[in-house]
Amino acid sequence: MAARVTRDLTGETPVSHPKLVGHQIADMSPAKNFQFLKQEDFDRLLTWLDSDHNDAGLAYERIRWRLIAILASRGCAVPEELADETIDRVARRVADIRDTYVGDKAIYFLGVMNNVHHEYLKRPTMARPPDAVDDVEIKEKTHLCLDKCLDKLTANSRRMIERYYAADKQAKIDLRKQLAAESGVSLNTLRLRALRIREKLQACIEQCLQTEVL
Amino acid sequence: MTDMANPLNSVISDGFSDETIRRFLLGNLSASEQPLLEQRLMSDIGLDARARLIELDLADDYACGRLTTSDRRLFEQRFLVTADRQRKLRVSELLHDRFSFAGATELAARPETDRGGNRLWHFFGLNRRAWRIAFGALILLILFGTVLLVVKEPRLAERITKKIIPRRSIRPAPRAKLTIRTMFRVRSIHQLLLQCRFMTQQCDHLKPLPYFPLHLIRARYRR
Repeated sequence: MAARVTRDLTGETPVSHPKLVGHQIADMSPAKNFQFLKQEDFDRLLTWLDSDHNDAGLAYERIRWRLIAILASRGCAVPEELADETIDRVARRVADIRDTYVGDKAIYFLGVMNNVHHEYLKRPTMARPPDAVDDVEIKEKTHLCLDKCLDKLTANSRRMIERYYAADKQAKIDLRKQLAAESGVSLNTLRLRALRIREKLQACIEQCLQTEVL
Repeated sequence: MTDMANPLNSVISDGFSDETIRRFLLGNLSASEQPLLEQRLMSDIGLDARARLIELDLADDYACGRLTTSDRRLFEQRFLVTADRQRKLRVSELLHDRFSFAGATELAARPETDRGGNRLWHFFGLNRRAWRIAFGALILLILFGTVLLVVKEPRLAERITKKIIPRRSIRPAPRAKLTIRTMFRVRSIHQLLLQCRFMTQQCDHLKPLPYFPLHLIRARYRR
C-alpha cells in the first residue's frame, strides 16, 4: 500500500491518507468512480469531524480503523483500500451535508462503506499479489525497535510483559495465574493491564520502525 | 481496578462478550449478529477500545499456537489482511520468542510444593492486599494493647509476673534412688527367670515371692 504520512495532526498519531491530490498512487481502489481527493476536501472532512485539530486526527484514525475491521470481518481482501475509498467519498460530500446532517458522523461513514463494499462485491475478483517485503530485514529492525521500546517501559511494566509472554501453554497459564495472584488482581484484569502495555509497545515499535525507514 | 470497570469483561454493558468480538474479528459472526456489532462498533468508543485489545490478544494467541485449527485458518484468511495486523502479529511473535524460554525456566525452578502452597495461599485469597493490611493492623493492635496494659495496670503486670515466676522455679522431683534392696530383688527375679527357662520341670518347687507372679511364669513355660 502506498500510504504516506501527509501531516501530523495529533503530534503523536500521524494521519496518513494515500490518495491526496498530487500523489502518484500505486494501488488503485477497486471501487468504481475513483477520483483523487483534494486537499481542501480532506481538510473540510477533518474540520467536520472535530473543530479541534488533534481530536479530528484521532477521530479520523478511529473511524478508519473501524471501517477496516468491519470490512475485514466481512471477508474483504483489501479492507484498507475500501476504507480509504469510503473516507474519500465522505470527504467529497462533506461540503453538501455538513449543515444538514444530524446524528453520529461515524454512522454516516458506515452507510457509505456499505455502498463501497457492495460495489466491490460486484467486481470480478482480482488475485492480489502478495506484498514483496524483505521479511528478514523487517524482523531485524523490529527486533531492534522492540529492544528500544522495552527499555522505555517502567520496570514494573517490563517485568509484567516479560512474565505475561513467558512459557508455553499450561506453563503459561500457571505463570499468569501466579502473576495475577502476586499482583492481587483477577486474571482478566491482569490480561487487560498486559494488553495495555502491549498496545503502548506496539505504538512505540511502529513509530520506531517509521523513523528507521525514514 | 474492579472487574466491572474492566473493558475486557466477558459480558458487559454493551452486550457483546469478548468471544463475540473475537468471532467478529475472525469474520465468523452470524448474519444476524454482524450488522448489530458493526453499528455498535462505529458509534461506541468503549467497544472500539475493547476490539483493539482483543485484536492484540488474537495476534498473541496465534503466535503462541493457542488457536484451534479452524480459528487459525480464519485468522490467516480473514484477520491477517491488513499491514497493521501483520505488524501486530510480528510483535507478538517477537515477544513470544523473546520471553517464552525465560518463563519456562522460572517456572521449572520453583519446587512443586512451593507451587502447591502458593495455590492454597491464593485459593483463600491471603495474598490480597486487604488481608495483608488486616494482618498488619491486628498485630499492631495486639502490640499496642499489651503495652497499654503493662503501662496502665502495673499491679496486673506484677500479678502476672508473680504467677509465672514461681511456676518456672519449681524443679522436677528427683528420681527414686536405686537401693541395694531393690537391686537384690531385681537380681533374684532375673535368676529365677533363667532357672525357669532352662529347667522348666523344676520350677514347681520354687516358692512364690510376694512381689513376683510366679504362677504366671510357670504357666507360660509349661505351654
